Amino acid sequence: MNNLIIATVVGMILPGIAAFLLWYERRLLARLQVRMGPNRVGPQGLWQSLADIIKLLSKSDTVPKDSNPWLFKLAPIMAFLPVFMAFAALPQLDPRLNIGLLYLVAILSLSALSFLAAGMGSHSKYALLGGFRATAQMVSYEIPLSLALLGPAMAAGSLNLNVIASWQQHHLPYILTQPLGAIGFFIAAMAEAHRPPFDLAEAESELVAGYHVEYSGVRFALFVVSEYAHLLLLCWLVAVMYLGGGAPWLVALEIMTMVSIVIWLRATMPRIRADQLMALGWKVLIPLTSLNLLWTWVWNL
Amino acid sequence: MIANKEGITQEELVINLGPQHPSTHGVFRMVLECRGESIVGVTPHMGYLHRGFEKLAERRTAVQYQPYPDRWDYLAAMFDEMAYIGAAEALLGIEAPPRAEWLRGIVMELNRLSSHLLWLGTFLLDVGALSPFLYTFREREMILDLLMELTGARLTYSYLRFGGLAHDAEDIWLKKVRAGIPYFRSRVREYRQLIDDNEIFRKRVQNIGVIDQDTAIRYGLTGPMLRASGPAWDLRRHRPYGVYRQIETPVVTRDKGDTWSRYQVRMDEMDVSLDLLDIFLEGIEPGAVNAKVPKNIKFPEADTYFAVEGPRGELGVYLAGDGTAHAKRMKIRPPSLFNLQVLSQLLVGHMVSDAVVILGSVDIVLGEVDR
Repeated sequence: MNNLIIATVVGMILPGIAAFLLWYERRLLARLQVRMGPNRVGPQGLWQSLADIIKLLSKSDTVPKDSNPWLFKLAPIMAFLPVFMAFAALPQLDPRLNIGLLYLVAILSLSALSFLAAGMGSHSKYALLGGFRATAQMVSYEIPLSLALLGPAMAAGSLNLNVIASWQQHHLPYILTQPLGAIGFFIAAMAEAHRPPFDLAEAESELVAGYHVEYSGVRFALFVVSEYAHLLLLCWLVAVMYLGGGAPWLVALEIMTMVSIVIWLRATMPRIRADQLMALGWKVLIPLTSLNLLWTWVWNL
Repeated sequence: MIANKEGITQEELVINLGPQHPSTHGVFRMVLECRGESIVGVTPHMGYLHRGFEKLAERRTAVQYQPYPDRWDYLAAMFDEMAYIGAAEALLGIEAPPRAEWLRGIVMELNRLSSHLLWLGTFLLDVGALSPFLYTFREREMILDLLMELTGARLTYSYLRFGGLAHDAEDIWLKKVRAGIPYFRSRVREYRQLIDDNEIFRKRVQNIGVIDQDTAIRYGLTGPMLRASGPAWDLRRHRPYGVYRQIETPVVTRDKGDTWSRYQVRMDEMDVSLDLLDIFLEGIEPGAVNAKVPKNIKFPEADTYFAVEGPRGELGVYLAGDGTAHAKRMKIRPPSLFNLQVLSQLLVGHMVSDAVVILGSVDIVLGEVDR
């Protein structure tokens, strides 16, 4: 019963944080691009995301005529659910989950299905290509992501994220002892969350909006919220796994630093091409993270 | 893909880019046939912005037609004006006074700068970087402000007239241009620092869309598209007109012919334009800006071809008169139309993402392609 209440509260707060991140990204990106960003709704435009969500919720619910309605309607939920379920493994929310890391990797790989469903179900060629790209990308980057996560788990001797985080409070944080893994994880995480420069699944200059080109209203809002929740989750993971966690305010600071770096990269980098993305994943990141695993083994011998 | 009873037959995926697509820079449309993500066939469609400007020249008097050239290539209107006015002047035998020529040079180089800045922003948008677009628009806006102060319009200036200019430039305006040059120079340097050594950008543009020297000449490419493939051909240098007769314009070339070379040529051309502006501002001297022009302009029974080096290449006007105030026939040689012809050959074998980048590197303006 108690857990249920916590889950409900967290389930209410997380979309709020995602909306806050959306506003934060728009503001910071605007500052980097010599413009103002949203600054009309509420103080500093803080309620802009809220207003956007209300607008999206009140829009008419459209399904394209020739689409596959089942896949089309299921896809946003399939994108939304795994990301929010993954939060359950974070030590700040549940410090006792012993299979935390395993659960995380398993749950996160589910969201690849949603992009395929959205791409196949929309009956649009842009969406189809975007869905293919997104799926290929997620399946490929799952491997370096998991390999990088194995390093801290091996060093701490536990899959429990809380143990991994608290281990770093007595020793050096893993970003110093496993820099290769930290960098590999960060890049793979950005690719997993479809952040620029790895946003080729929704590349607006080629595929208009990629897999969610046909979506509007609530379903589009679900995609956006899940994307930002994904970003939050992965930055949170970096904070816990590599920066050492710590007191809640420290974790929050670490998360915001990571988010700011991600946004900064978005402002600086052009988009990578699909085949170059694959080459980076298979030829660079997997060897690097494997090397990190070896290094961790030697370090802890 | 269509499945039938015998098994699975495969066919190409046909993707339609445009006319309403974010990357087509207007209303260009290309139909890509893809196998996976690689392109195996391209069908370009143009003409969505056809407004019949060549025919209009036969129905309007020479003076009435003056504002129309601004609308051909609305991003570099001064060059269109120069091409039309230059052709008409050649036909009528009018010479503009020296101050008018100097001022024409100044406004054209300013316009070239603004056109290249817009190209840089949208090209990087095609590659996937959003920020440079906003930076270049900030600088372009300053140039447009300068031109607006001089002519009263941001894009369609109607500043050049038969035998001169609409009106003289004030000294304070020239001072403002002079003050702006070091600023623009530092900004161009800043862009190069931001963009040039970006690993992803290099990988996206190097060895993409290679045009060898032979192909470039055979397709009649001009401007940065041609110069990126090797030939040093610049009308400002090799067939000079107006103020360019008095100076030696440096010609920027590269020899690889890929998208990266085209980017470099245009970036260097911005520096050249700034250098030229320096020279023009040095050389300009007081005087009249209008020559003596007959009250009723009638094109004599003759024809002429006059071309200027626009930001996209050779912009030419063929003008034939028959003794009336109307042109007997006018034909425009728009550089982007000719440069676009090579596109379908360039795209095959590349990926969908490259198609957008290559199209961006051609630098088309649909107002000029379709006329």
